[in-house]
Amino acid sequence: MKTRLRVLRAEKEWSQAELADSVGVTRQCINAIETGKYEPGLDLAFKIARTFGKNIEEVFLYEDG
Amino acid sequence: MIIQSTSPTAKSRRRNTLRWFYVFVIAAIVVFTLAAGSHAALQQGVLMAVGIVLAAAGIWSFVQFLKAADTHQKLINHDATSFAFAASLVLTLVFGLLQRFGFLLGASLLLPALMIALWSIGLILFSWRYQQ
Repeated sequence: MKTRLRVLRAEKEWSQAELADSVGVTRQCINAIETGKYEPGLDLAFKIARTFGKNIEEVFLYEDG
Repeated sequence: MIIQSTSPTAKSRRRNTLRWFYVFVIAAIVVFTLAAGSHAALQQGVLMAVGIVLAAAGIWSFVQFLKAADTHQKLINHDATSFAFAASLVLTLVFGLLQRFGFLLGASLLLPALMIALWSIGLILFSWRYQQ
């Protein structure tokens, strides 16, 4: 799964810590998602997408294989 | 634009529950050690009771820590617990062998302390994995 999280966050000029606080996770978690080391569950993915005012598919891109 | 925090106390809650876990566990181990060294039956009984209460408080704070953790932290915790379990299994066998040959007698309290130490090491190790 690919994510546009870093790009979207940069557009909004939010820090990882600010986004983490807003969705109720640690900064380390946001960093792990951005670097592709951790794939969030549905609940967190929806929370992140809603924080940006976007659909989940606009933030997370599913790839086969 | 500034984004609003949905859980301003979540971070402090996670830290506090983990701190309390370590405090209760260390206190329980100290009290159990004192109880094991005590020769008066009444004193030993009281110390054991206090130790059990402290250990229960430790378990309660651990559960609170897990409840406050996000899914990513739960994953790290799962890895750390697996690491502690596997390492404890190996070390239990080693301790068993050593005790069979007359070493480390009366070291039964060492095992829970060791498991918690290994779990803590696991938390640090598996947290590093997700850092840049």
